[in-house]
Formats: sequence, C-alpha cells, structure tokens
Amino acid sequence: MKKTLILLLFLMIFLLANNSYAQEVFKIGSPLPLTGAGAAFGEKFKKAYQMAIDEINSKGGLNGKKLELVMEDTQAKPTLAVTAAKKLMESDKVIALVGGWSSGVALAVAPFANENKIPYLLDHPALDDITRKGYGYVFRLQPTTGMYGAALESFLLKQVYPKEKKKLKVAYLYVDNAFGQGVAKYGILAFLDKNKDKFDLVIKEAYDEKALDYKPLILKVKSANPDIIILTSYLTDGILLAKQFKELGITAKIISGTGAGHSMQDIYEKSGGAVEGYFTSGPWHGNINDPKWKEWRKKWEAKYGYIPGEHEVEGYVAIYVLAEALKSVKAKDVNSQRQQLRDALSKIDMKTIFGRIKFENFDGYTNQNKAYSLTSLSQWQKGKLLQVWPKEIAEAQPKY
Amino acid sequence: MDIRKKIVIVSIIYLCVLLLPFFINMQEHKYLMDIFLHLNLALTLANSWNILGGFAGQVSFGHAGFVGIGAYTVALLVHYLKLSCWTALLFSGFFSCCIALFLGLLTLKLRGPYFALATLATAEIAKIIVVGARSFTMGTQGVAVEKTPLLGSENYLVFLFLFALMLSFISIISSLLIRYSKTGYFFIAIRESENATMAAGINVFKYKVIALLISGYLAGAYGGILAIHTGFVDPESAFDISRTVEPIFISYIGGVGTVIGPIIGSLLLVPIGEVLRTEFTTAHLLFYGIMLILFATFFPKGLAGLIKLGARKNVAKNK
Amino acid sequence: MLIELILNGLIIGCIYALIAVGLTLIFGVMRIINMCHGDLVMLGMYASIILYEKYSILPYFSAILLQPFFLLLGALIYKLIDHIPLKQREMNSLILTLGVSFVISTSVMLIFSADYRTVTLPFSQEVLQLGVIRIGYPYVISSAFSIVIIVLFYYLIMRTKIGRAIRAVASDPETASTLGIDIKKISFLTYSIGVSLASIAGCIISPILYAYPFVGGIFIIKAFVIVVLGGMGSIHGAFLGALLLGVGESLIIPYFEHSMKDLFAFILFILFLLFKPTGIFGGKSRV
Repeated sequence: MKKTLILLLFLMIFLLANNSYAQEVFKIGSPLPLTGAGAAFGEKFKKAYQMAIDEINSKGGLNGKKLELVMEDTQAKPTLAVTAAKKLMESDKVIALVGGWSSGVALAVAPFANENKIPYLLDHPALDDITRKGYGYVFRLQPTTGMYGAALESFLLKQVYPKEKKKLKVAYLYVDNAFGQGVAKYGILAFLDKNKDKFDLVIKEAYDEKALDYKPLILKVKSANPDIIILTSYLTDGILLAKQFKELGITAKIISGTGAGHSMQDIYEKSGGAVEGYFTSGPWHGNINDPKWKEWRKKWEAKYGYIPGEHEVEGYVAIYVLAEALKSVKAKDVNSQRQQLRDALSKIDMKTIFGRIKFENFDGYTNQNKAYSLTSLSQWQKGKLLQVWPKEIAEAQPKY
Repeated sequence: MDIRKKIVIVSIIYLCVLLLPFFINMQEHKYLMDIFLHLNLALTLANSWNILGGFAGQVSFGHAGFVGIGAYTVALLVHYLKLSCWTALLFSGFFSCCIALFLGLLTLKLRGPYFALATLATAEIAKIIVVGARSFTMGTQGVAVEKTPLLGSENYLVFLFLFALMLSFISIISSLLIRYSKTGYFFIAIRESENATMAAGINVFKYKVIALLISGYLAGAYGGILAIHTGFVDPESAFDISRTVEPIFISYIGGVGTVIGPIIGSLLLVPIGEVLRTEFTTAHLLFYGIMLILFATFFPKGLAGLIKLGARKNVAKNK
Repeated sequence: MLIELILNGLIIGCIYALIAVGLTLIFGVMRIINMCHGDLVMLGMYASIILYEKYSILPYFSAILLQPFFLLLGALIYKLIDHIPLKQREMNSLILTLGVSFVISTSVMLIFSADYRTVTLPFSQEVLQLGVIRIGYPYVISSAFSIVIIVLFYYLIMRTKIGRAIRAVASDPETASTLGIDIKKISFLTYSIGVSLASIAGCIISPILYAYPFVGGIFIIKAFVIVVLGGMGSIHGAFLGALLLGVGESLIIPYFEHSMKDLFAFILFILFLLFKPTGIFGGKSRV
C-alpha cells in the first residue's frame, strides 16, 4: 500500500518534469477559454492568431525562426489561468503571453507576467485597472472599457444633443461583471456625470447576466420613458434584452450598446433581427477605408466564411505587433529574449489594420495604446453593422 | 496497523516531500510546483468534504461557499486592513469556521438530501451577497490580493507550497484522528443511522457541528491559499461550483468514508486531470462524468474498496 | 405596470412548473434528487432547435415527437440508479445523477460547441396586445402548452390506475408493495414521466430562451427552490410554488437591484427548509 503510494509520487515527478530543449522557434503562449461559457470567443482568437502566424511563417518567419502558438484552456477562470500561465512559461518556455479574452483572467495573469518578466500583450481584456497598476511588462493595444463609449459620447454631444436642444433622459443597463462595471465606472457613468446639464440619468442598473427573464426590468425602464437607452451587454443577455424590448414595445430615440455582444453578427441573427436600428460603440473593426483592411477582410471571409469583427482584428493585429517587436530579439536564452522583446514593444510605433499602435504612459495608464480614436459608433442597418460615426470613417448615415 | 504507526508513516512521507525543494530548483520549476500545490490543495478539500460527507454522512453541496468565504476573507483583510496576506491567511479558515458554525446551527437539523440542498442554497446566498455588497466587496469587479514578502523573502511560491503542504498534512492527520477516535465512531454511527444513534443517547447535533467546523476550517483555509495563489478574487471564481464538485469527485473515486480514499483520489486525479486538461482541452469533463457514474453505481467503495478487495483475494489465494 | 408584472410572473411560473413537477414526482416516489434534471431540459432545447433547423419542425411538435427518445434515455438512467444497493441509494444517486449531468452537458458541448443557440420562429416577433399589455406569441403558446401538459399530467396521476399506484408508492412504499404494487415498475414509470416532462419543458422553452450546454444549471436551481417551497414530493405544491416564484421574482425586480433578485428565492428556500419542510400546504400528504 505505502509502496504504491510512494511509487505514484515519484512517477508523478518524472511525468511532470518536462524536458527543456533549445529553442528553434519563437513560442507565443495564449491562455484562452476553449471550454465553458467563453469558448465561442476563444475560438475567434484562435482563428485570428493562427491566420497571422501562418502568414508570417509562410513568408519565412522572423530572423529565420518560425512562430508557434501554444494555447492553454482557462475556462475563463482566473485560478486556472495562473496555472496555465506557469505551464506556458516553464514547460513551453514561451517568449510572450498574448490574449486571455476576459478581464478576470487578465487581472490574474498580468501580475504573474510582470513578476516573472514575461511580456504580456492584451488584445481584448479591457478593464482599465489592468494597465493602471504600473506593470512594465504588460501592454495593451486596444481601447480600455473606459474608452469603449468614446464614439457614442462624442455622437451624443456633437450630433444628438445640439439637435434636440433639451435635456435628454437616459436609461443605462449594464451587465454585472468586471467588463460591465468597467464600462460603467470609467466610461458611461463618468461621461453622464460630467454632462449632467445635458443628460438626465433616470435609471442605472447592473443586471445579472444569467437571468431567464428581463421583462420586469424592462417594464421599469418603460415606465421611466427614456429618450436614450444605453446597454452594456454580452451576447445571450443582449439577445434576450433585444427580443424583450421589442415584445414590450420599448421606443427610445436611440438604443445603443457598447461593443461586446452588440457588435457580434450573432446578435442580429439570434434575436431574429430585433436589434435592427441599434447603435453600438466600441473598438472599431479597423479603418474600413484602408485598402489593406479591405484586402484582409476578403482573405478572412475566404478562409473562415464569415465577416470578422473587433475580436478577429484585435487578435490578428496582436500577433503582428509581437512579430514586429520580435524582429529585434537577438539573444539566445529565453530570459534575455523576453527582456529584449519588452524593450522592443515599448518602442513600437506601427500602423496596422486595427489602427496606430504605440504604447504610452498617460493619465495613470502604463503601456496603454491611446486608443480613444480606435472606437467607432456603428448601427445595425438591414442586418449589417455599418460604421456611422465619426464622420471620417462613416459607411452610412446614422438613422434615429 | 494502529493509528500511531499510520501517523508516523504520514509524517515521514511529508518530511520527504518537505525535502523536495532541496532537490528541485523551485524557481525553474514553477509549473511543477504549481501542480504539487494543487495536489495538496485538492487533497485538503477532499479531506474536508470527506470528514463531513464521508464520515458523518452529511453530504455537502456547498463547499464552494466555504472556499469563497475563505478567499474573500484574505482578500478583504489585505485590502482594507493592509494586513500581510500570510497573516490574513490565518484568519481565512477561522472566519469560514464561524460561518460554518452559524450555518450548522441553522441547517444541521435537516437530514440527508435536505441538508445537501440547504448547503447548496447557502453557498449561493453567500455569493449573491458578495456580488450585491458592491461598495464593500467590489462586487463582480473582484479584489486584487497583493502578495507581501514573508520573513524578508519574496519566494511566494515556496511559502504557498509550504502552507499548502502543512494544510494537507493537518487534514490527513485530522482525518486519521477522527476515524480512530470515539468521535469518529459517532460520526459513522450517525451516517449509518441517525435515529439509532440518537436513541443510544448520543448528542447527534453536537457531533454534526464538530464535523462541519473541521470541514469548514479546512475549506476556508484552502480558499485563502487559492486567493493568494491567484492574486485576484472575484465572485465567479471564488464561489466556482467546481470547488463543490471536485472534492466529491475525488472522494468518491478514491473511496468515500475512508482515510485513504481522498489521498488515492487526489494523487491519481490531479495529475490525470492536469494532463487531460492540457491535452484534450474539451473532453476532460466528459471523462470526469463517466468516472463519477461508474464509481457511484458499480464501485461505491471507490478505489480503496477495490484495492482492499484485491488484497483479500490475494490472501485467500495464498492460503 | 403591476398587472403586467403579475401576468409575466404567471407565464414564467407555468414553465417553471413543468420542470419542477417532474423533479418533485421523482423525489416523492423514489426518494432521490435528480441532479441531471436541468440537463435534460437543456437536451430538450437542443433537440428541438436541431429539428427546427434541419426539418423546420416547430418545437411544440418536437416536444411530442421526441418522447420515444427521451423515454429511452430515462430508462437508461433509471437502470443505473436501480443498480445502486437500496441502502446507499439516497446519497449515491445524488452523485450518480451529478455524473450524468456532466456527461450530458459535456457531450452536447463536444458535439455542438459552446455557442449559444436560439430558434427564430416565423411568428417570434408577433405580439398579442391586450390594452396596454403586450405579450409575445411564443410566450403565450409556451405557457398555454405547459398548462395543457400539466392538466393531462394531473389527470394521469389523479384519475388513472397507474396514477393511483404512483401515489400509493409515494405515500407508503411498504403498504403499497403488500397491496401487490410492483415498486420497481412504478419507480421506472415515475422516472420516465419525470424525464419526459423535463424534455417537453426544454422544447417549449427554446423559442423564448437561448440554449448553451450549461444552461441546465440555471433551471435546476430554480426547480429545487420550487420543490422545497411546495413541499418535497407534492405535485400541487410544486405547481403553486412555481407560480409563486414566478410572480415573486417578477414583482421584486423593479424595486430591488437586479443582481439581488435570486436572494429572495434562496432565502425563501432556506426558511421553508428550516421551518416548514413540508411546504406551503403543510401536512404529511405527498403527491
């Protein structure tokens, strides 16, 4: 009995002690939700990373070295993510970490990456706090939650309010999780508070993502009769809200989401078109007037058969940002490689299909891309999500 | 074999493990150490569940609640009182124990499945309160747990490892002590027949509370270590339902209601689980489910029971 | 607004009832808690969604069409439960059905991915307007459907021979068996009926809700609350408990923070467990 136990113990040590070998490739690790409720998003990033990596490798790689992606399933759970990050760092000896999808995962992985001096590039976890802690090894290329609403805010201030010439009643519903709280605290609520003279916040409510029925909440909104309804939602809750808004006959001048669920093609189809006319403000899909972007979109549609959104662009660009920085990595051992990569990342200033990427320190943020301008307001018009604001990149006129 | 021998053997094994850091460079094998950490933690939680559910027969579906409370105790103490996270860790088990006492006074009058459902509900209530008390707990945004150096050293992983090791040692020893003491016999009597035990003049309620307190303490301390390990606590991950399922799973496969069961279960399942998770990302839950069905239906005594059966057959053959 | 809220609560309550009645029946007769009940609902949702997408069969018809399949599945799970020695059944069946729940939800995830799925019926945007009150047709049909099923079910339990046997086993298994009732057969029937009700619930929920592999967890918790509210094993209780929970939730949301809404249900749950474990109707009557 005891012998078996001891044997087992030793067996484990041997099983788990991974052999390390010289690095012929640049390995990039990504903790992604591949199972569980976030799996649909993990899939998007997986496709985007793989596409970029295949492109780079087919052109001969970087300094003769190929790129390789190592993914670990996190089930979108922070605890698993930390273990996954440790495995990526030690067994796989990745040179950098990328992605993570949810803010919770990134909040747990970021301090770990910083402590162990591994560059960690965020392409989607948006909670502001992550780049507000002074982590020198954590970089973020996309807008933070606080910036998500930037396009909507400028639209309301510069377009809607001047026309109406009266105080507008606003109802704001946001999903009660790290993402929703972030958009509310750093974005929408801060904005409404600053413009109290123009907008009147009549209802503010954090709602439970897993509710079966939102009608009581919607009836409450209905009785307040707002001019503008702002929603911060994921997919399922967004679908249900849209369906039930329609059912209960909610009529507001403007109904706008803030990215996430409202920017996904799924929401239109799965709500049976109930989101027609909804606006959504969030990270843009890239500058659509850019010929490079158009070319990329064609490539994506040909390969995967659907129109890419913000997630796909962010993931694809993240790999290119890392590749650009990896060009100046010359060292042999992985620790100095990581060091060199970090230095290269902090100097980066490049144009991508997502927009300009330059990591800066400002207003309490560290290594954050100043991505206010990388947000756009889009509107669902006849089943298509068209950018309507700012005017420079508008594909269509906003209808309201 | 008498209990003293068993305790000595367990202690020797633990001493050997304690020497491990001298042979393995921890800084280079963080991942391996992490698996060891999880192994010890899983063992602790399985023992915690097994003492309550296996020995005393009070199946709990609410261990996620104890873990969550332990984790939040550490996070909030560090956040508000600026305590060192290691000091806070000492409180996590204690606080979870207090909650367990309160819960016990309320729900331990309930029997069997009723108790299981009550624990499920209380774990959910604890989670909802943490989400709802936004101004105090930061709600769904979660709380960061800053690590603090201990004795001037920043070797967090080593400390976490040592704490986890200590905790799992305590859990095994308590499990042993309980199993071979009068208290343990009362526990088992309650499991077998509550009415008969009561008729024998034993204060059933008292022993149930004792089981719940030990269980709550271990689960709370587990939560505390987890919070420091992750460095971040949010309701969704702190009260994760898998903290309820995992110990049940380990106990049942190892052998529920035995001392050795949770040990075999976690030694086997933690490494297998890790390999499954990394190699077959999507399928590992399916494997867990099938194992659970097989063991609950066909081998209700778990691996421990199978091994015993095998040994007995061997003896019979040799005779 | 008050009338709308109450009406909405009643509609949701009817659907809750369909899930909870099966759970309570299984508990009443077999003394086990069916942890995979929510996953059976989920399976019903997926099956009806697939049938609609592939063959455009309306979920309301698939609710009936799918019955043979679900009865078979029920029989299979029952066989497993039956295999557990009687003495350990109460606890081990909990663990067993938990395992079944894992297997069902993970298999669905492996086959259909973790994507959210919905069906959009031709009339899913149509609204029934009664004065100021607006109700979507899918809600109207689903709640009507569940009322019909529950009435049929009542008839089965109260007026038929099988129903009488089921009630007899639930109230006193020993006497029932001395009266010549085959307890195993009745248990088997009960489990099948429970599974069948869960699958019907899944089919009629799919037009109004979204499905994903782990959606069962939401249903099972609601169903537990209802079953305890109504008294474990009581069918009248489950129906009343479902309506009560539906209306209660609906009424409470506009006046409290949305994320606190489940607190109400759980506190009721604990209070009933502690002080009135026999449920709203009290007494000893089961089924």
